[in-house]
Amino acid sequence: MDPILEMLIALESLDAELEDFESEEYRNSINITQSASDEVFSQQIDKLKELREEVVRSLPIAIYKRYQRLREKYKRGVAPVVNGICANCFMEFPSALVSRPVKNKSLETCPNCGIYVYWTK
Amino acid sequence: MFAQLLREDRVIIDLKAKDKEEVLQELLSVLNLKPEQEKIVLEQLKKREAIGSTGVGRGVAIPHTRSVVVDDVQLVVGVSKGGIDFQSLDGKPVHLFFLLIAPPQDLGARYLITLGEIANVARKVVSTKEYLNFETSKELMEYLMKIYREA
Repeated sequence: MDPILEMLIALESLDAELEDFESEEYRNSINITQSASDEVFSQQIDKLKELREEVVRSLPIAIYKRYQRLREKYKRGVAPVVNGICANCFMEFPSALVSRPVKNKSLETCPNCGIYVYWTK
Repeated sequence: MFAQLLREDRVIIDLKAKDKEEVLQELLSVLNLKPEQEKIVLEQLKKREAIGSTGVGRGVAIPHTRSVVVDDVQLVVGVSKGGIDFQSLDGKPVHLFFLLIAPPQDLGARYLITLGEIANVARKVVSTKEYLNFETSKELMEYLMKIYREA
């Protein structure tokens, strides 16, 4: 897999997890014994942000900026392509692209919405 | 959601893993992801564990993450009769695992709903540890479904 795509996938996951931590529903679910304090959660969020920064530092700045713009617009920077369809804008990819045997070896974007794409199948 | 996601072929009655990384791999293995997908999800699960163990205490862990490499919410349940050191909040070994993976965007917040349902089930089962007594995946699945419906 393209190493930049792999980092973008990791970044997307970390951003989603940061959003989860802001949800009370999430905190209650992972705190079933009520033994984790707000301070513990706060420390975990800080660690998550550090991990995010590490990933960001390893990305080319132009790609990170584009990722951020995509997240502002679509609330995500990477979308899966499932059965040849972009999960962000639902555009069907050209069959020539879908039928390629090798995918995810280079960084690609959706020709319609511009989001970075990960081919699931 | 829990009831829809719980499947017999995703219930491991006797985990062989001996440590944290092994158990994450063993739980992931039943999802039949492509090797590159499994590697990405495993790394993400390890990152999540690095910021704080999802061993929530009283013998239960709920390893979870989000990744674009899965196209729907996935649940795997596993039992380790011997227990695994998962660096839990209470320092005790973990016997019951609920692995939950979801895409970053899931319609209807199914991930958080399922996480809440798992927590409710976990709260109910920790006192008796009856989940250790089952011989087949089907029996454990039916037990968890019963608890879920009562929760």
